[in-house]
Amino acid sequence: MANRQSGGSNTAGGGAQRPNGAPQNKICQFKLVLLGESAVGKSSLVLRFVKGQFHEYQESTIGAAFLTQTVMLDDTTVKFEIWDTAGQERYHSLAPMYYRGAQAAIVVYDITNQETFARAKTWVKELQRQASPNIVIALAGNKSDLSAKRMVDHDEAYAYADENGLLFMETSAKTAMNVTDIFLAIGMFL
Amino acid sequence: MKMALPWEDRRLGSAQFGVVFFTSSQRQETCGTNGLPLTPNSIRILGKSQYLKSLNHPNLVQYVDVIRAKHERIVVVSEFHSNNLRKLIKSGQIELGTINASSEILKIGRQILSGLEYLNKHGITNRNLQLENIMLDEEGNVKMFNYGLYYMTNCGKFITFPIGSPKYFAPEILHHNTKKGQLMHYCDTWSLGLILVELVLGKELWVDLKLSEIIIKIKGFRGSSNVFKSILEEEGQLDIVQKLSPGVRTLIEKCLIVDPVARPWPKQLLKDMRIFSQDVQVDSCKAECDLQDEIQLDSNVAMDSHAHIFRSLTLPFTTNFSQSCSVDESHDNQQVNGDDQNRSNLQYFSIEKSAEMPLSTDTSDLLKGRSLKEVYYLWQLAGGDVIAELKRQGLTRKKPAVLSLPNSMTLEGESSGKSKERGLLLDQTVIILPLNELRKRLNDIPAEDYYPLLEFPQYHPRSENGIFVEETSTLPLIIREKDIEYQFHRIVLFDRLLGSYPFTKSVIYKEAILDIPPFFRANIWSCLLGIDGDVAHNYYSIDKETPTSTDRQIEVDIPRCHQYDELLSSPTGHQKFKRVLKAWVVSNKEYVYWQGLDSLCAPFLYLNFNNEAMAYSCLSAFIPKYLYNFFLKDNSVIIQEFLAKFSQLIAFHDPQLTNHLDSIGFIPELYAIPWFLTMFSHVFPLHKIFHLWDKLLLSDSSFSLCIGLSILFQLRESLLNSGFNECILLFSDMPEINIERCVKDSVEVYCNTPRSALCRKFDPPCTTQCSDLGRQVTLYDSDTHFRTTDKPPLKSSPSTDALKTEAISLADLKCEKCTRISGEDFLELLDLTRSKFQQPKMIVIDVRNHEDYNRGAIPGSINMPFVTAFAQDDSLISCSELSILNANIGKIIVVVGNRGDSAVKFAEKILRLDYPKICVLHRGIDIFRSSDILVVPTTV
Repeated sequence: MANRQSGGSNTAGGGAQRPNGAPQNKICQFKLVLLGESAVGKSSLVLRFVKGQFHEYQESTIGAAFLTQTVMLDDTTVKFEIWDTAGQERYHSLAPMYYRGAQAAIVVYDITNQETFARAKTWVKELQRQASPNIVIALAGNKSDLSAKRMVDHDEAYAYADENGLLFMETSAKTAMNVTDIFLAIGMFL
Repeated sequence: MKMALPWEDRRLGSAQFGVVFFTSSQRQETCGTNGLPLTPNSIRILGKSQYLKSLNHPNLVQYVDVIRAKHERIVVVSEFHSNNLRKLIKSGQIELGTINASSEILKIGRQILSGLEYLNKHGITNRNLQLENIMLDEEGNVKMFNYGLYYMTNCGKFITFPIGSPKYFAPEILHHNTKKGQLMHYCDTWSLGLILVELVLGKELWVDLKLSEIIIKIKGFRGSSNVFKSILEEEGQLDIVQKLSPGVRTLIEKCLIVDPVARPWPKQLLKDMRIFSQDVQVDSCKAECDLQDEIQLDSNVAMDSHAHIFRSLTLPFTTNFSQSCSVDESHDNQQVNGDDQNRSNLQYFSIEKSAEMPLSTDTSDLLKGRSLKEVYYLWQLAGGDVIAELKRQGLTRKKPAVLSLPNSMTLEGESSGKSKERGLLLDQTVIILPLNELRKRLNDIPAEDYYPLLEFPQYHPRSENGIFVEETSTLPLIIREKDIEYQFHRIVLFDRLLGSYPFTKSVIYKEAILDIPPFFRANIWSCLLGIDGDVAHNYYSIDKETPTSTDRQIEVDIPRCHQYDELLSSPTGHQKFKRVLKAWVVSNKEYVYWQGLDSLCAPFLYLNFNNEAMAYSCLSAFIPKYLYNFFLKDNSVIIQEFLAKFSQLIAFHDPQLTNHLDSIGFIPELYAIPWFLTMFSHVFPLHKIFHLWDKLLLSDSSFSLCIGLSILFQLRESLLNSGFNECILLFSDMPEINIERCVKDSVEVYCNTPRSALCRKFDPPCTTQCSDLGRQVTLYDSDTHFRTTDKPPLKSSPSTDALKTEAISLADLKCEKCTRISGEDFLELLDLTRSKFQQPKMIVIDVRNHEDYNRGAIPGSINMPFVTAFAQDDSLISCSELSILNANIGKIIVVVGNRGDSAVKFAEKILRLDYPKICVLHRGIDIFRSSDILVVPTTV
């Protein structure tokens, strides 16, 4: 985490703008949690959204990481409290508090790996069963820059999301494609 | 224990350090299918080449270092000898066709084969045999050089140029009958054959031919049934065959068999009785006979002052007695001592010498007795820089691309005037590292420091200018690690200590408290972890190949673990990583793989890169000691207890911080799990982990709690001034931590915390031998610090069980803000034997009511009944006891109560008032009821 060289960090583009302070606006605060199999790019999505960076060798998340980002939606200041969880399932038994009380969740899978999509589906099921009933769930097919190696069909995922009432986007933390968009879409929805 | 023991390392002797370099090829694509950038070839070479450093054979030079430089360059440092076969041929010392030459050639042949066989056994093909690469040491023994190029470049796949000199290429290479990358041990045999032919002829072959002509020539051998004969015929030296011993002839003929399938491997040739067996017998008989003669001879010549020089100059070909090393050495001694009378002493001398006695009277260059790797390390400390050396010699200059453009170009595409980039070709230049600077720096060190007498009670090495090395030991670690004299003494010392492990275990431990020299860190860590037994055998008997369910997790974690490090990011590193982790998971059925285990493995793998078995053993020994049960499938109670203890530790040392963090709800669960689960190896880069673990390994698992606290200390100001979000953001991207200060603070915290306050229910069952040792040595010894001293005298000792440190249940632990202190620790602090003039170490607050207190209380305690002590606003009501308490702030405050929870509540309340160092007496005053400690307080 600290002091490590990170391959090709890139601060340009992708990051949402921080507001220059507009106190008269309405302020909303949301707790958002990222779920999904390990190494699908949860931390990378958050890092791209919050800091506009991308680390090729992003370290694995142990326990959970927490970041915040504030964006302007029309005249509302939306503050995201983002809980980036460890991908390895074991960690969820350790600290269920991470996703308790979340108003929104992004379930991430890797479009080049079918298993991660299956895992994402079980996450969605679990959220629908256990999380607060009006939780907003978004499905993110990450690593869309690797479409040459695609294993999960876009339409299939789209159909699944549609069926389950999920927001759906294919994203790429590396190229920043759709990263801000998916967070904003959640913000709008809320 | 199968450790890479220091004394097994090759000594410097008369060798030098030679540097060769080459440029690895660029990869076509930059991104792999997984979206990650492809590992550059230079890193792949770096990873693969590490193995070469572990090779050790008398006929191979020792690889010392491989460096990845700018522009994909690989720089290789290895042992170097200035004499080689080419020089030998040029010198014309080979007397054509004599018997003497035959046996010498056979000796060279056998030594080369022996080196090749060793390489083959380790999966390496040389492919780079040529006259210059067969070096000769002082005694005329073969030392093959640059034999690892083909191996480290993955059979030449990672470079653009062909390896080796085409002259020595076997025909099948030129006929492209072999694919690039295939292991071809029989190609080496061919090259050896050709080299031997050159030796026999006493000249280099085909020097006037152009490359294309040479290639045609080699290709032309295809039809030849006896290549040796054809070459001799061509050279007009057919009659030389008659003069050669049959062994040499057979060897050459076998080497030069055109059909690669029929050509024997080095191993087969070595076993060939027709070549070697009789000769060996004959040779050894002859050697013995010769010896007698030679001694006679030598003692005669010894009168000649030039005898010594004469002998060393002509050694390779005028003497035969290098057959047997001991004979040769004894002979050496004989000469040095001039003892020509007492021949029966021969054996005696050779034994002494092999026992590594500083027998040599030559004190001018004691460095010769140090290992190559050590000398190289010291050379670097003396300011040596291989890359700078290359630069100085103008060899790393890269031409701007524009200069590589051709001057003219025809329409057909032929160009002229283009000079090829030097780096893209194989540069045969060898740079010798100058050692004068190092020798100059070590000049002041007296000879006896090379052979310290460890058994003397006071070992105080001092340098010539009178500065005690011990003085250096008080300087900051970073300075110490760069101080060549200091490191020299530490290395010499640990060299001796490690050599006698495990008998020196306690001394190693004691010395490691001072610091751990980076050069020996891997070995010292292994000792501190108490690694024992046949490590390699244990490791190799573990199944690391069968797929398991954790494979995917391990595979996705490894490419993200400490990848800034070149070694760990190399494919070789990844493979090793995977095997070690799998081995651990497979052999610890009760545990499971948790993310973070990869980070934990990284320091051990880095230190023992060429010794996977040791990396595995260290990991296996580390986990039960420092992360007992952390890797259970359900580890929540263990982690929760650890974190609860951590909270109490913060409260004990820094109530202000605790109160602030509590007020914003910033609990350790949010940030400290990766800290403790990986013992900070997920949080810090490797060089910081090393310094942190240097101390951790001297202590027990609770030391990690102290490390955690000292990290908070460094961030204290930011934390106190931040709200929840800022705090958590602070940790999501760990700020720069001064690790030396962190280590120092941790030790301080550890020493200033009662042992019982760190006690956990889920501690390892029994402290291992090593930590017991730690207690004896009293690692952190000082007056104010905690240590187990003699029990205070108790006439009627209360039931000792009640005094014992005892962990409380997790539920209780989580409720209590302040830590508990055991009766034992309490008595130690109370220190009834202390004289009147000594200040008490703690202040005891009795929170029972006045009545109970007056009936019997702990001497020196003050009475502040819980019920009446606090005002409405939770502040303490002013009274004389309060002023006593306030006057003693900084000392440990022990709150003593009855069985009820009033003491716990009282402690929490004064914690909120920012009183530091509060703890609660475990089980209350009752534990002293049966003792004679309690006194009736004198009413003021």
